[in-house]
Amino acid sequence: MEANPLYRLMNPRSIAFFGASNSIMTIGTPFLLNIIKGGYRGKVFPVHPAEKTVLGLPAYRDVFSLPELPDLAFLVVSRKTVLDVLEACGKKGIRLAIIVTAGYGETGSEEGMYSQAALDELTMKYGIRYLGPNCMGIINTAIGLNTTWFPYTHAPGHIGFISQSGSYVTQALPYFARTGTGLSKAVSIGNQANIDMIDCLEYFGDDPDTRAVAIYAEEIKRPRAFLEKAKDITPAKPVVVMYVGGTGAGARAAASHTSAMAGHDGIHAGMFRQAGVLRAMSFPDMFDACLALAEQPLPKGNRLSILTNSGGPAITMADACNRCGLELPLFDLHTRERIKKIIPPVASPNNPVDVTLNYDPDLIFSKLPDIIMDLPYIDGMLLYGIFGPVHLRNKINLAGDLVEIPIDMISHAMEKACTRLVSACRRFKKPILCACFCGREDDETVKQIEDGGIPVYPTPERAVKAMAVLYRYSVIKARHGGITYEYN
Amino acid sequence: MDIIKRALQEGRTVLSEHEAKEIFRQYSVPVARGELVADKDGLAAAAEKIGYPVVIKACSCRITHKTEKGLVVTGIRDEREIIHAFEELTSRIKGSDYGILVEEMVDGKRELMAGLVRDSHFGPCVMFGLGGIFTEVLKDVSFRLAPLGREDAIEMMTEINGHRILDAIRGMPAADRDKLADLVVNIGRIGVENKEIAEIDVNPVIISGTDPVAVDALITLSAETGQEKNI
Repeated sequence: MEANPLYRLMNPRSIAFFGASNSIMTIGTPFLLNIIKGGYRGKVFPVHPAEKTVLGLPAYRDVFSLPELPDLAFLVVSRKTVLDVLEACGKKGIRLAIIVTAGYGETGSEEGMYSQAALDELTMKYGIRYLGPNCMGIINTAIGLNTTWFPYTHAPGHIGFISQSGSYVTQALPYFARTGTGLSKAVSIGNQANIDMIDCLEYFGDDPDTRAVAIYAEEIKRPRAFLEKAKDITPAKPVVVMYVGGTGAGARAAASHTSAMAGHDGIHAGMFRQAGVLRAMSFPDMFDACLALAEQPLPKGNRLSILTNSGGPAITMADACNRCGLELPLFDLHTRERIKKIIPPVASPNNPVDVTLNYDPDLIFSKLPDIIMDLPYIDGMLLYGIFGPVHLRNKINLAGDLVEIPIDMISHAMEKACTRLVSACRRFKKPILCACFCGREDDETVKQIEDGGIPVYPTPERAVKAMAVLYRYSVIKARHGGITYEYN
Repeated sequence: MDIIKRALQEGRTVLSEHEAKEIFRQYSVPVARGELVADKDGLAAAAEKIGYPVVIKACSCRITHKTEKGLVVTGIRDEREIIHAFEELTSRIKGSDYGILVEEMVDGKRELMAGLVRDSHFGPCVMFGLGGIFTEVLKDVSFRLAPLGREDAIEMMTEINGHRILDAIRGMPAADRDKLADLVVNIGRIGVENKEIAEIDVNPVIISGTDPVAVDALITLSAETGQEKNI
């Protein structure tokens, strides 16, 4: 069997770039800019017919003038010249390409189909494997390679993303940064004319940097192969798919009930379940789920505890748990007594534990989690009540010198308590998910917790939904004779 | 399969209920006990052998949706009733290329369904869900690609919204989910092993006591003998 081309394509030692100039108005230039300014350490050879240098790099007149044989050709050239460029690459000996150029099969036009067929013929002749056409390329955060049009600004993470939409691996990058969602790698598969979703799935199933796989799909091209491949992967690694029904089933003669009801969505849903693949109904849903799956241990059961500094969000969480099939066991008498001793008199010692608004970070981030997470009948914890020093700093700004707030002391205590919190998941091998209306940009404590590996969701319900996914995946894994990887 | 071959040779794309059930029997799909008779004369003897009460149905590859057309008479208790039912039923059919299927009256309030569709993109897919009149109204169904395992079939049963219908409810015992799963798995096998089959409908599957029984059966064939592309 031929080796999966993605191993080299995702880790090229050198890239020949076709289609950038020294003008930012050239469509290819931002792609090259991202490659050379994103931290990629491999060699980049811009090919340009006239320029001596492109973006400060020595430029080459054509592929034959290159000083060495590059691993990968990257094409953002007009459709008319794609074949000539590829032919030259083939002659030179380049065997991998990413073709950004559009106007092929996706147009549905005869000309587009014809062009794609010509592409197939030529690449077959030279044994070139390629991504696209009509794609945005790849991101590999481990080597700082981002060929897309938008910068990747967040730290490397553990979610591998396969997208049939180019926008979701470019325009969505600021969303990932804002929500603390770290990617390991991303592939914009475009028309999947050569390398397709299943090649990517196989690659991500094997990739040690990827702990959860996200797929945005409008169509599952080879459903049988998808089913088999996904079945192999899901016992060891979670796969979450956001499928938005592309191809309609078409009108069928409804002689049988079965046929009349076999809408493509129903069959897709069945196939995903058969494969152990989780399904998300929206973009945030998919990445909320993947973030929890990639960063947190799985719960052993569905018994959760809620810890909060406020009533409403905790009640919302409890209600959402109820609807998601998660249980909130009452604490035993001994535990209630232990908790009662350390919380304020008006606070509630039961599950949910509500400490009420309180400036003792040690209580909510350290002492209480240590008690709760240790309970044998609790499988994981939901936390609402991140309240970083930023909120006190706000007050200082308002108050001027009217009041005295020991801000440095509080900041320090907060940081220490958070460190303890983020270690709790590892110490107890149970998941913690948080919710906070402030994001990582608003509150440094949110950032610290997220960077420590505990996802912080923007609403209480989203944290619960993500926890429900963790539980659901633990069930899938058990059913498929799960394989456990130890991370960290 | 001979039944399928013969039907295709005759230029038919629909099997009669009797033919469909014959295929089911060969794949261990439990069906109602019954006998096909050509005319009035054989009725009483067949009913006697099966044991009253019985059901009679017009059986022809031309006739689908028999219940809606009044071509099924249930709850027949004796010889007098069966002759009466026969006359009533035959008065509603034009032509003569049909037989009469005499079957045991399968007792049970819970109606489910299983089916198969050969999708041009996915290949053979199996469906399971609520049957009878609820099939169209509630569309409470679950799909899998065939072939499927027993575990998959068991999971399909927990997936439908009305899954509690299979539990012990209102004095009825819990349905035998393993037997039901075997039925669903075997419907899938039929589709996988007979590429000429385009669709299968088993509706209703009645839970009789704890056991599922296929009470009606429809199999349609495709002239393009199982051309599967794209999968």
